[in-house]
This record gives sequence, C-alpha cells and structure tokens, in this order.
Amino acid sequence: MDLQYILIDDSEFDLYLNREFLMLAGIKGSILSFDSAPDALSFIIKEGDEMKPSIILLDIHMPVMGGFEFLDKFSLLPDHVKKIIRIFMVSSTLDVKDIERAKSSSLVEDMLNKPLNVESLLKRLG
Amino acid sequence: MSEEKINILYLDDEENNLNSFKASFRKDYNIFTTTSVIEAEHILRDKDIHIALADQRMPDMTGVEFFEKIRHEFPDPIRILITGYSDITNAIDAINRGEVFRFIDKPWDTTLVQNGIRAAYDIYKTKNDLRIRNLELQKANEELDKFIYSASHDLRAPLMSIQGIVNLALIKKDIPSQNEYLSLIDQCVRKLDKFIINIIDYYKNSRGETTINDINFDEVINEIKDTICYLPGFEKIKTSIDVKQQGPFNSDLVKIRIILNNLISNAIKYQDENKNDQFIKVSVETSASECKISIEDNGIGIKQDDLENIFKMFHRGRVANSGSGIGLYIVYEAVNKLKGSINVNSKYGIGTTFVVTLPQEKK
Repeated sequence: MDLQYILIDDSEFDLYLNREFLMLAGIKGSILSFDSAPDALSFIIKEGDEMKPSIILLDIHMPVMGGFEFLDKFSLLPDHVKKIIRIFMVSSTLDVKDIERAKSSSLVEDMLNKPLNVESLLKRLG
Repeated sequence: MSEEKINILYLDDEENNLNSFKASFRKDYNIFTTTSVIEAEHILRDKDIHIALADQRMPDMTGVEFFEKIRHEFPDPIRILITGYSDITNAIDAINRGEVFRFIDKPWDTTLVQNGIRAAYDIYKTKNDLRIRNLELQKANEELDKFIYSASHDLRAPLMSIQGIVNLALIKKDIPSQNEYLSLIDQCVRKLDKFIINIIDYYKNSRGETTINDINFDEVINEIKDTICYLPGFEKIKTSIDVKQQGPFNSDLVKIRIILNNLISNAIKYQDENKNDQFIKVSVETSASECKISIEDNGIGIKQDDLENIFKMFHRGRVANSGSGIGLYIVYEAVNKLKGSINVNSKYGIGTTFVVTLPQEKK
C-alpha cells in the first residue's frame, strides 16, 4: 500500500512548498495538508482503525497547537495507530533546546531542516 | 527623586528629644517619631522610611539592638545611632551588629544632623537606583533571550521559505511557475520586512527619548488609514472614525502612531470572515488633561486564556494567522512610556475593544 503524507504547518507557504517538493520527487501516495495541528489530530482520530500507514511532517512553531503539544496528544493514541505513523519534525529553528527536544523524543524519527530536502527524507524512509 | 521629601523615623524613649528634633527639622523632612519599639516597627511597615534614627540608651532595648532586630525585615532604611556617650566598644558593636551608618552625638548640632541625613539619603538613593537599574537590566536580558529565540525562528522562517521557493524555481523552469514563485518570494519578503520594522519600532520606542509634539489626531489617523487600506479584506470592513479633539494635545507622535497603527491593523487583521457586518470604530476624545482612544471591532475576539498574555513579548495568540507576538508588546511599552494605561475587553467570537488613555504632556 502507498504511504500517505500528512503535512502539518501553520505557514501556507511551507505547506505549498513541501507538497511541491514531494510531488517533484515523484512520491507515490496522497498528500494531505493541515494548517493547524488540532485539525490534523482530529483527522487521525476520526480515521481510527481505517488510518493508512503515514508519514507526518510536523512543524514546531505553530500558534494554535505547537509541534511538541501535538506530540503529547499523539502519544495518547492507541498503539496500533501510532505504529503505522512515522513522524518527522521540520523546522527552520536554530534553537538548541528545540532541536534537542525534537531529537530526543521517542515519537520523532528525525528532525529535518527547512527548506525540506526530499531526497534525504526519502533516503531515511528507505 | 531628589525633590521628594525624606521620610525619617526617630525612636527615643525621651519625649523631649523627639519634640525638639521635630521642631528643628520638620520643615525639611517628613518626621515620624515614637517612644515605642512596636510602634516603630508599625511605622516601618506602613511608611516608606528612608532613614531610621534611634537613641542608644533606652530602657527596654538599646538602639543597636533595635537596629539589629529590624535589619532583616526592613533592610532599606539607612540607620543612624544617636548617643550621648560613645566609646570604641560601643562603636564597634553598633557597626557590626546594627550596621549603623553614622553616629550623632547628643546634644546634637543641627548642621551635623543635616549633613548626616543628607549623606544617609544619598546612600539610600544610590542603593535604590541600583536596584531599579538591576531590574531594568534583568528585563533587558530577558528580552534579549526572547529576541534571540524569536530571531532563530521568526526571522529565519521566511528566509527559509524563500530558500525553498528558490530551490523549486531552479527545478521548474517554465515562465508561469517562475512568476508564481516570484510573487511568493515577494510575500515572504514583505512578512519579514514587517517583522523587522516592528522590532525597530520597539527599540526606537524603548531606547529613544520621548519627544513632545502637537498631535492632530485627525491627521495621524488619516495617515494610518492611507497605509492600511491595502491590507487584505479592508474593503469589506465598515470603518468609522470619530475624533473629538478639544484644543491642542501634546504627546509623543512616534509613540501615538505606533499605538494607533498596531491596534487598528490588528482590528483589520482579526476580522471574522463569517460576519457580514464587519466593522471597526475608532474614537478619540481629548481634554486638557488626557486623551482617550478607543478601538472597537466585531472580529474574532481573543480567547480568555490568551487575554492575560497578549501584551507579553513574542506571545503568539492561539489563533491561525497569529503574528509574531511583538505588535501588542510594542503598544504596551509605548503606553507605559507615556505613563498612560491600556485596557482590553474581548469576547471570543464577538469582538474586541482596546481603550488607551494617555496624559497630556507638558511642553
């Protein structure tokens, strides 16, 4: 089954850019964009057992619910849902604390810099 | 502060001493006298005492013991010991245990007392100024930390978006795509520029001197209107402006412009798309002593838990489309600099009203 890509970012630009990057890299599978983390979270909850294997690209600084808050809520989801979702944080931050926090989270596979380098992402996905 | 009257506490068991002290100095200082230690402590608690004098020889407690007792709870007043006899042992004791700043011999010499009080007050003032400077320094440091954190994100994010668009433009080379990318870059540049202008406004406001101008509110608001009418969604909003200016009003034009510009821009930015009757009401009323500025909208409103934080630096509201969190902070600082007040009344989903009151400055 093709992977589903879920982009979460409050910046319309970056949602657009990341979608373009993924499409240009020729990924198979659908791309969903959410400009707020709660919307993405309710989507995942609503899908429930129907949830497809997904890659989440998660921004850190967002006004309504930040990336780390999203992770806190995400960690409460049932294990079989979490198991099929791989999360990458994507940010332009240079803040050491944020970077450390992202890298040390057990839910986060890696922290990627903006602008997104799709090739290195695809390599990570194997 | 130098013109402020010095508050002095004088504790002595002899009523006569207190009275003659009062008679000699009450024109120069605010003097609080008492024969009781307990009463003295009450005075220290209630009044902002700068200098504490105590007689050394009292029946219940010596002056040094009194100073030693109050030193921890009331560290600020400078302590002067009044003593009829002084030998070196007493002096050492007074300095070490009571941290006494100076001795005054009984019977006192008016000039010596005045010099002693003047010197003590200088110390008090220096310590107090130092404390205020320390607080300011602490605030500046916190702001710097926040600024660096914000710079690592808010300043860099639009740059990285531009970098991303450039990367795309290098791959997709057709003209329509290129044109689209240029317009995206343009938007990013504007966003970044707005942030930088805000930061500079802030530093101009917080570091710069206050300059007094004759304010014409009609003129200022029209100028602002000319720049904000290009904001997206402006044409849908019914704006009403009501300026009741009674005579000249003196204040700092740059700060007034910062205040009005940010509050009006916010009122436009946070309109409720679902409402058909979007409005902004700006009203200004001046009197000889102050002006009252009110900016009301029926926009999206501010959530309750955001309300108490909206004036903090880099606090971003929990709404989509929130800014960098600096606009209202700058407004707040500008109002403070002008010794005015700002109040916000907002209901989420209903609308927001900001009311700013600024005193008329003396020219």
